[in-house]
Amino acid sequence: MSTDRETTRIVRSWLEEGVTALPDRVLDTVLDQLPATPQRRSWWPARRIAHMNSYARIAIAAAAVLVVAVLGYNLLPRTGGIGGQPTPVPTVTPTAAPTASPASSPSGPPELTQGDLTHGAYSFSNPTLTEVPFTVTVSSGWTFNTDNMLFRGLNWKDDGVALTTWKITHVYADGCKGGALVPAGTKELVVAALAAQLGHETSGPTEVTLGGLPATRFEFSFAPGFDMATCDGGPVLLWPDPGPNTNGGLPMFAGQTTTVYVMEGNGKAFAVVTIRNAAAPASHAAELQAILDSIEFQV
Amino acid sequence: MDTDLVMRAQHGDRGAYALVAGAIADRFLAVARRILRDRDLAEDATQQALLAIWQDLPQLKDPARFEAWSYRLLVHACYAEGRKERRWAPNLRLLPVDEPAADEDLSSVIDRDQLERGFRRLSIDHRTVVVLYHYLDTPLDEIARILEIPVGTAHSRLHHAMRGMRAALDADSRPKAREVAL
Repeated sequence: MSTDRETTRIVRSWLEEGVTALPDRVLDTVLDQLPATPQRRSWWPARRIAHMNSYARIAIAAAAVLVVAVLGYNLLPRTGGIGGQPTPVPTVTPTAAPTASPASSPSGPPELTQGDLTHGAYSFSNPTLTEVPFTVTVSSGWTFNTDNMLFRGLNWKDDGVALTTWKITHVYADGCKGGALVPAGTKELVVAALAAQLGHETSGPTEVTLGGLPATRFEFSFAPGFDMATCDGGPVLLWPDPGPNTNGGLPMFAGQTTTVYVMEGNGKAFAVVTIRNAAAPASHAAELQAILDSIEFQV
Repeated sequence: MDTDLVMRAQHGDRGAYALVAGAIADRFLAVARRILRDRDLAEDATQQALLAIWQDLPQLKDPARFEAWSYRLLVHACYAEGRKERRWAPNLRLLPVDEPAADEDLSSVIDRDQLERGFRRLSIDHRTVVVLYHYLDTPLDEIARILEIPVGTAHSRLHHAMRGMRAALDADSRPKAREVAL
């Protein structure tokens, strides 16, 4: 067995290997782009307000309050919500006494940010990646990464469990072979496309409730002996990023079971997704289920 | 880094920035390659970072802090490139194999393979801390500033990453069940 010191020595030595020189073409490309790349100046120095007279400061403060009030009023929930469904009656989710909690904010749990998490409630609310914001209660030991992925374990692709959300506009007709895309902007179209999708074993669709709202549940896995090498380009792909942007998308790797809850919000389809690797311990899977059970949509 | 060059570049002097970029380019690529384990992605990240530095240079308050500040932008670019890779492309392209020395024995080749696989299993967060700490010799408090995370988180990531690397090294050195039986 390696000692910590030996591991450090080996890793440092390995990192030192290899001579690296940036090809001239890369640097030339950068320099060629400079004339067309304006520099960003600081356009609103913080100190600027300090030089204003009292009346100006009061006027700005009043205007800010007015803007917040108008925005707040407009953001108040109307009748309906996700998919036009009635706003659910708030429920109390029982949670264990936190040992260490994230800083709370007056408007609710803090947004998930990249890094290791402490026990507490967090919000999936990145508008680029999240159709309808929702909160989850997470135990310590979980990590949030740059893929908008909440995961437990060393790596969500190999041995971990994970939860994420995705806006969906298209679905691959064949997850294994890729290529053809089925337009699927609504929940019904996504459900139909996933039910017909080739390239994996499918369980579902099943009508369920998630976070108090209706969802259609699928569970995708691989048959014993499935050879991922037969798939074009590597993993099975369920859907691309919205657009469609085929530079991104949700992959399924060997040994994974992916559970998809198809939902609708703002008239658009989205999914809450859980991923469980075969190598993930049962305790992690139980924590994942607890997080799923804690979901509360902010509608 | 020559702070005078940095200050001239801050004021839009493209000639000065060409010298700045030329001075940091190879180092940036080296760091990006080690984080991303992919030459093409690393070149893209380096290119994006060099452009981002040019764009944001006027906002750098202290030119003497250029190095740490520029690494923050490089790491952001690596994360952006890594996101493309991880959401979609599992076919990680192997780095061109560094030529082993002629007298290397089999064990060092195996080590390299184990290290490569172990490192690829780490999240990009963990890989970044390992590279900044063990390759650039950046202190943990400085890493925390670069990554905009608490020092404790930087320490924790390094610990978990090195534990993962140690596990990778140990995993393949354990005798197989069949060998034990024999």
